[in-house]
Amino acid sequence: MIFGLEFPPIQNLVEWEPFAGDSWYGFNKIALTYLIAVLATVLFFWIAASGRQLVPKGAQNLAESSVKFIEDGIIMETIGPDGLRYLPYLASLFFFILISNLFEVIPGFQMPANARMGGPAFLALLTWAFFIIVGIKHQGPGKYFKNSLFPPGVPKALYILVTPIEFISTFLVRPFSLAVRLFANMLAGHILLVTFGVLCATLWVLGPLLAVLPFSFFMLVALTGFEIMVSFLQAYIFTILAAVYLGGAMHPEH
Amino acid sequence: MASVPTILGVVNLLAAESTADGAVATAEKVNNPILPTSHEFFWAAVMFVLLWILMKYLLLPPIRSIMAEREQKRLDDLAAAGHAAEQMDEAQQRYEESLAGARSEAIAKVEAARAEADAYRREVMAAAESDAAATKAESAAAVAAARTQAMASLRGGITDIALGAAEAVVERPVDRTRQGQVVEDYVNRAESSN
Repeated sequence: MIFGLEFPPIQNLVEWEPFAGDSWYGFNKIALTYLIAVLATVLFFWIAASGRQLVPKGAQNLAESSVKFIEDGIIMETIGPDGLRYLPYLASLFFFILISNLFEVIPGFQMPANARMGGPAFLALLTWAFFIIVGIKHQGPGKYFKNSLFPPGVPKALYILVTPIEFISTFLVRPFSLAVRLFANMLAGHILLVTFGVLCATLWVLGPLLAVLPFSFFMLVALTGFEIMVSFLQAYIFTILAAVYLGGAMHPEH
Repeated sequence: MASVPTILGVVNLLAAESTADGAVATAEKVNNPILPTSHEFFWAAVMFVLLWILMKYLLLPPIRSIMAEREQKRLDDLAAAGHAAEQMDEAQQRYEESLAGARSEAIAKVEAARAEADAYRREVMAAAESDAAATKAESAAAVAAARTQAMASLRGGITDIALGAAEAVVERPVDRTRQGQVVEDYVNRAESSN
C-alpha cells in the first residue's frame, strides 16, 4: 500500500499459470502469445502472397515494404549483399519480437511476451550461437576465434587488454545484453502501463480524487502510444544487432 | 478505455489475494521474475523455430519472387527504354543526315539553275545586243544613204540657185561646169566643217 494505492507484487504482473501441462512444457499466456505471434505472421504473409500482383497493394504492399525494410534498412546497412541469405532468420526475429511486444497494448492480453525472460533469453542465445556458427563457417574456426579475440590492426602489446575485453564482450556479454535489453525495456513498459492503470482504477474508486483521473488517464493513453513505438523499436534494435553480429562474424575486417 | 475494466479486475483480484492469502503467499516459493522459466523458454524456442522454418520455406519465397519479378521487369523495361532511346537517337541522326543531304542537294540544284539562268540571260542579252547592233547599223546605213541622197539633191539645187543668182548679179551667163565645180567644192567644205 503506497499513498493509499494498492500496487500488486511484481510476480502478479508477469507470472502466468499454465493452462495446460505443469512442467517444462506448461502452456501459459506467454506461450499463447508466442503462438499467436507465429499465427499472425503466417496469416499476414499468407494474405499478402495469396493475391499477389506486380503492382502491390494492401497486405502485399505492407509485407513487401516490411521485407524491403529488413533487406535495405538492416541487412544491406550492416552486412551487405551476402547477408541477404539470412533474411528469413532476421525477418523471423523482427516479426516474432514485434508481434510478441505488441500484445502489451492489446486489450485482454496486455502482457508483452518479452517482458518474461524466457523468450529474449532463447532468441539471444540462438543469435549468439548463430553468429558464432556463421563466423566459423565463413572464416574457419581458427581464424574466426583469432580475429575475434585478436582484432587485426591492434598493436600487439594491447592484446593483453583487448583480448579479455573482446572475449567478454563478444562471447559473454552479447547474448546477455541482447536478452536483457529487450526484456528490461518491455518489462519496464509493462510496469509503467500497469502503474498508470492501477492509478486510474484507484482514482476511479476513490471519489474525492476523481478530478486527478483525467491526467492519469491521459498518461495511460500517451504511454500506450509510446509503448507501441517501443515495441517496434525493440524489435528493430534486436534485429539490427543480430545483423551487426552476423556481419562482424562474416567480415572481421569491418 | 478498454484496458481500464481489465486492470480494475486485476486490482480487485490482487487486493483479494493480498488480504486473504497474504500469510500463505509469503510462505510460498517466490520465483525471481528476472530469471527465465523453462516452459516459457521451451515454447519461445518451439514457436520461433517454427516461424523461422515457415518464413524460410513458405512465407518469404512468394513475396521475394514477386519482388524479384518486379525488379526484373523494371530492369527489362529500363533496358527496353534505353534501347528505344538509342533507336530514336539513330533515327534522329539518320533524319538529320538525310536532311543535310537534301539541303546540300537543293542548294546545288538552285546554284545550277541560277548558273543556267545566268547563261541563258547572257545568251539572250548577246542575241538582243547583236540584233540591236544590226538594226542600228541598218538604220545608220539607211540614214547615211538618205543623207547622201539628200545632200546630192541639195547640192544640185544649191548649185543651180547659186549659178542663177550669180548670172543675175553679173547679168551674163557663167561657165556652168567650172562655176558649178566651185559651188560644189564650197558645199563640200561646208559639209566637212559641220
